[in-house]
Amino acid sequence: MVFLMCLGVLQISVSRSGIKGLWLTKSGFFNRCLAVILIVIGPTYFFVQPIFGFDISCFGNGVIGCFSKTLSMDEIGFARNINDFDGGIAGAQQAIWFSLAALLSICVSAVSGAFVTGLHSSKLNNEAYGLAMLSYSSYTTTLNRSVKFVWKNCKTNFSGLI
Amino acid sequence: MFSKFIELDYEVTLFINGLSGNFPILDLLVQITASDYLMPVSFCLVLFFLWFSGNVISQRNNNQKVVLSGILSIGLGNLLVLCANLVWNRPRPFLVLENSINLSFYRPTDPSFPINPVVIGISLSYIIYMQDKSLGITVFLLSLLMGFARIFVGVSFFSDLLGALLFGIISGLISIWIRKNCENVFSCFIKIAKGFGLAG
Repeated sequence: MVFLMCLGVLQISVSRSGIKGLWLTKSGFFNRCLAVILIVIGPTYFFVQPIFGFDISCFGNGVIGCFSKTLSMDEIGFARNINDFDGGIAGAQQAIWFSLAALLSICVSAVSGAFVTGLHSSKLNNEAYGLAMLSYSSYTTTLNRSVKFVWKNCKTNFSGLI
Repeated sequence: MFSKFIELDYEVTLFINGLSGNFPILDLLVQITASDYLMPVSFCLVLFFLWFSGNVISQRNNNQKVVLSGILSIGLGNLLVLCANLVWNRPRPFLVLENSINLSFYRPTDPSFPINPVVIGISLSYIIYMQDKSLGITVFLLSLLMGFARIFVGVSFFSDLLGALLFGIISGLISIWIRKNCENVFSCFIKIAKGFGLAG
């Protein structure tokens, strides 16, 4: 659920700010549509899954076998509301899982963004690095330049902290 | 005076909780709203959205500093909740008013006061409001919604929600004060993230 929602939210954000290096598709409009679908599918699958007993891992057994369990209206609400001790996820664990999901969504977006912008960018602004450069460049190119830029200006960048 | 306040608190709690059990679909929606997964994840997603949003570099930088303040406020909010729990280990409504409460949620074992996710939500909304008013108000309303949902399902008192509002605002204020006085630290962190192509 979290991965799909992170991916969707990320796509809405980068579509609005024009950071093409993290787009899933070449069209901003399709990106936003896809993002909305992902944001809706994530929690829907999470909360609906216990109702039908639908498990993506049971595809090999045939689709009919997946819909084997049904819950009453009273049981639906309790399906995902369980204590940490009874199988729920504690706050700290949630924080870790969320961070991993967010990181994974950025990785997936960076890979697709490489195909959107082209693996190598021909238009390189000498002064841009970081997300500003991702507007027209792939993540690998951006990372390469950003690391060099920050390392080169290390003393200037971090003198305020010292 | 205090006992009158507690009586009023019980009455309001029972009134809100008394609305449950009449419409199964409403109960289901409120249970999902009160769950530990939907709203806390939504709050974090707002921060995730803010990090990458902004058409101009300066706007994005400000948004990223807001996100860092937000993360700080989450830690501070949890710390304030921990301190509150140490001072007052308040039992849950289903333990105090067991014959009157209509419980439609699992039985949490931690203290009732204050509502932890609402503290986080309120502190985030306060910080986000300084940068983006509409988004801040949205997060604030979602936090309130979750608070009322928790009362509706019978796991929190109304005064727990009021306490969460107070603690959330305090946490937000402290985070903003820290950000103003440690601007260099925030800028350096963003520069490091820029080095990895993830900020700026």
